[in-house]
Amino acid sequence: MEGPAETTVYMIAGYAVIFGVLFLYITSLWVRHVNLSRDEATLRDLERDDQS
Amino acid sequence: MKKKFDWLLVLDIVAGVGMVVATGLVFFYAPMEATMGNVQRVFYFHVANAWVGMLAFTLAMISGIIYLRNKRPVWDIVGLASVEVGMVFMLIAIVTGSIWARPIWNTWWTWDPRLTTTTIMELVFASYLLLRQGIEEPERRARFGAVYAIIGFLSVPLTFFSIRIFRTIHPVVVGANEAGAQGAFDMTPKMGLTFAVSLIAFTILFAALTWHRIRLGKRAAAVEEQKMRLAQ
Amino acid sequence: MLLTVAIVLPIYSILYNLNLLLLPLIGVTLLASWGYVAVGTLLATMAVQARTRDILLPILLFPVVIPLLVAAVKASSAVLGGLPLEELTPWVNILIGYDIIFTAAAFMVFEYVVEE
Repeated sequence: MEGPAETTVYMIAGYAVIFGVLFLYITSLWVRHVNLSRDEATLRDLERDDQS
Repeated sequence: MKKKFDWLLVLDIVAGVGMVVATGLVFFYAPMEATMGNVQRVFYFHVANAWVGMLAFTLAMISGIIYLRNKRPVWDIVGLASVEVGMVFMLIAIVTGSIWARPIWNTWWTWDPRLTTTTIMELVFASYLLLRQGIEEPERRARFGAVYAIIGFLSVPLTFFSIRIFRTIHPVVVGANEAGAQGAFDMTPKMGLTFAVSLIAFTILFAALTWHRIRLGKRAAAVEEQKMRLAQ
Repeated sequence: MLLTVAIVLPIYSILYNLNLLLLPLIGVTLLASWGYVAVGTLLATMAVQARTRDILLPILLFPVVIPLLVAAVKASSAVLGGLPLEELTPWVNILIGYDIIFTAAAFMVFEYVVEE
């Protein structure tokens, strides 16, 4: 039996993909959260202007 | 926004800790597999991602059914959230599988039944998102989305059974491998523990992400509604 | 839906009769067309109501009918290649299963697609 194959590079690539994609998705959630907060603030201002 | 105690924050922390523990186990606790070497470590998160992807798409179909029954917009938001999160996890599962296959099967990709059906599943839910893009009216978008999620999900059992119905080179974790499976291995107890923790960690992560996405969806819907009101 | 079956099936039959008149082959085409019509009708009804209707139907239809197409092609080649019955049965089973599942599903959800 030969020893374990030298496949560390593939392992690193695999985990880079896993954490990379998860990071990108969480970032996209965060960006959408920030944009929504801005929209909400704008709408609140508009509504206040309407009432006054 | 709300001063109320936020359970989602707790879930986030648990998910974060779970991921750190799982990652630690994968790299420092699980032994190196005897023939495949380090690339076998991809397996733990690969299967966890595929499992969570399945879970997400199942949730998408269930919310589709519930939505068609009671027509409450929240179930449309849940459906969209789980499709989106499911696609992220399934994409990771497919890409990591491909990376693992390169040294083990000597190819990045093969039209193995399980690989093929998983890809089809990803395509189905990409189509789901495109369908939603094409419909302006929220009520109809929700209705059609629900219908397509149900129809699309029916390809999932095909994915799951394909490995048993056809000859395949994809190894199975639970149950006996077929003679043709390449890259199968027996799990030691340490590997089994790492695997179980990975599954749990990813399931919690899935719950946290979906919850966040649902919240986002609810807020987006409220903003849309407010915009409509102001426009009048 | 039945009308579509009636139109599509003779065309299919004629196309295949030109090649070979084989009962199993007609059976396979019947099964495949049935599933295709069941899914196609449902998705077409949704697609025409969308803004991007021209490109949407193939996008919606393609991933859902792939298992059907693969099974039909494999079953047909098994028939034409004169392979033993056990080579054919799993694919025919897939076709039958697909037909049953998608016909039932289409009937159950169709009302939600046409309601206004």
